[in-house]
Amino acid sequence: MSRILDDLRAAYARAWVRVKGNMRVKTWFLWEVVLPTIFMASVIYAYYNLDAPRIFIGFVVVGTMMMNFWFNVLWGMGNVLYWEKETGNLEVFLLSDRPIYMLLLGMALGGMLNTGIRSLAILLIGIFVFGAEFNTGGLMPATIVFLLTLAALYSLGLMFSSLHLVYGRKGIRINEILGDPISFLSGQYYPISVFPTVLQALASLLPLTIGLDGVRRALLLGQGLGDLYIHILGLGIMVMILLPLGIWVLNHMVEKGRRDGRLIMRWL
Amino acid sequence: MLGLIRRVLVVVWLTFKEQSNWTSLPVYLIYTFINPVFQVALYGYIYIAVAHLSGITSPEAAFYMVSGIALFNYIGSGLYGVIWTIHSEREHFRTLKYTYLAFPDLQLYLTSRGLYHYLVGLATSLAMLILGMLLIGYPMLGSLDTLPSIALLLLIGIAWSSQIGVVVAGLSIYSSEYGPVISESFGGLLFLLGAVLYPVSALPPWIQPLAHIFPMVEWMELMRHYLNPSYIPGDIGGLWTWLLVKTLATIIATYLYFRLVERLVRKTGMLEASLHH
Repeated sequence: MSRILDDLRAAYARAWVRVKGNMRVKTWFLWEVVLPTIFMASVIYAYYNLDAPRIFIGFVVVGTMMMNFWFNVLWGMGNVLYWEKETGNLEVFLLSDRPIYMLLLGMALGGMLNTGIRSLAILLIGIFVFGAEFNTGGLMPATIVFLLTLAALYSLGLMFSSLHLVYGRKGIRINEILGDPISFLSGQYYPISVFPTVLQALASLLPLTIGLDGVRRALLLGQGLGDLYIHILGLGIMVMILLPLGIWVLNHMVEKGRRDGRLIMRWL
Repeated sequence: MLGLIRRVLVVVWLTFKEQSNWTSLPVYLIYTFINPVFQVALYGYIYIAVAHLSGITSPEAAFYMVSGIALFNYIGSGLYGVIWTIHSEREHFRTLKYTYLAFPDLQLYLTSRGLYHYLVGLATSLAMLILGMLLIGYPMLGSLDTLPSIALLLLIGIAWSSQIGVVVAGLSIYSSEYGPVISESFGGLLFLLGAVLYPVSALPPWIQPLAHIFPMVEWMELMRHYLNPSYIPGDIGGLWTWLLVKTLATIIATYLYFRLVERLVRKTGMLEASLHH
């Protein structure tokens, strides 16, 4: 019991550093909200220009909000072990007797909180500046789908982190090519029902696609838990597979890094 | 002159090595094309989604969007290439001080670093244009008659956008905290205001004057016109005049501004002030 508590304390400590670090420069918050909002606004004006129905504004706002979490997984979690290695912190973490996945849990929790605050600001801008309309009755099912999506995404983040432990700069390149393809396949700006069937099937393997579709159905179409059971089930299964798999891959990569002597080797 | 060309080519080669030496050439080429291909799909599908779900079709708007995203890729690749040099050399590779000592002119160095990215941007933009037009089912474009104008516009595009990149890189030298966010936001600002996905007239009236500060709108509209001569964005002669005037103004203003920033940075010791300072 005390071991679990110690593990949780380690996670909390890392989450605290993450939150504090991101708030270090107060105006960063402003920039981090402004940046995705600029791209969101561009797509919204494109929809205005095409005389698209109003529901598309909601698609864009929800897509931008949730995509923020994906970028946080890639750069705020996946990539972080690389930077810890480069700055010399990784060896300190590895000397600790707490498991490294608890460290990553802390990063994930801190990252979720930071990204959550920014996404909330984007949502408010979407509603009050661009007039996005949402069905408040869908808030509860949307929250459930959303939280399951986060669990699945951050479990994937565990795996990405382990890649960075071993592959260094290659890991950064992998991150880079997981931006636009995932934005497209998950349907950041539109529902994936507009894709050809094969592409829809492929896209449905991504937790973000399922989560985004579920949240949109709840918030924009007013669907309830009963309508979203396939989304919930699918995401639940993904979490059950991805979480243990992520921990296993991470431990395996740490071991491999130790064996090959590359764990704290910089400039790779 | 030969010495200058040699220096520029060495920096272009350095940029290529820095970008590609993590893998083999075939893998690097695949990596280079992945994001642009998905980007054109991401934005091309905005039109397809509207046509699919609401039945509203407008091939002209589709052409506007797809050509815009492909052309932005060219400008954006080079611009980010220039801007990110400061951040990556100072924070990642920690070589900015050596570069500063070794290369006689930082502004020229930054521009040369961007050149490689413009070359990559040209190749990927061409792929985006072809794939994008296929995606939206727009008739393939192109006429040999307009090639010289397109080539000239590509060079002018390098001239103004690389110098805007130098301005932003100047801000980045001065502030390690804000450098990366300013860089990203500036690219985003051009994306919002630069006639990429929609004409400037689609923006709210209060923001439209901002769009005309940069040469981007004229450049985009002229490029579209020469890619597809049936697209007439207005007075072509007037667009050329404004493009040349704004490009020249950008180059002169950047030169003066960068000299000032460089002096300030040396005076205040900010050249090596990384995020960890």
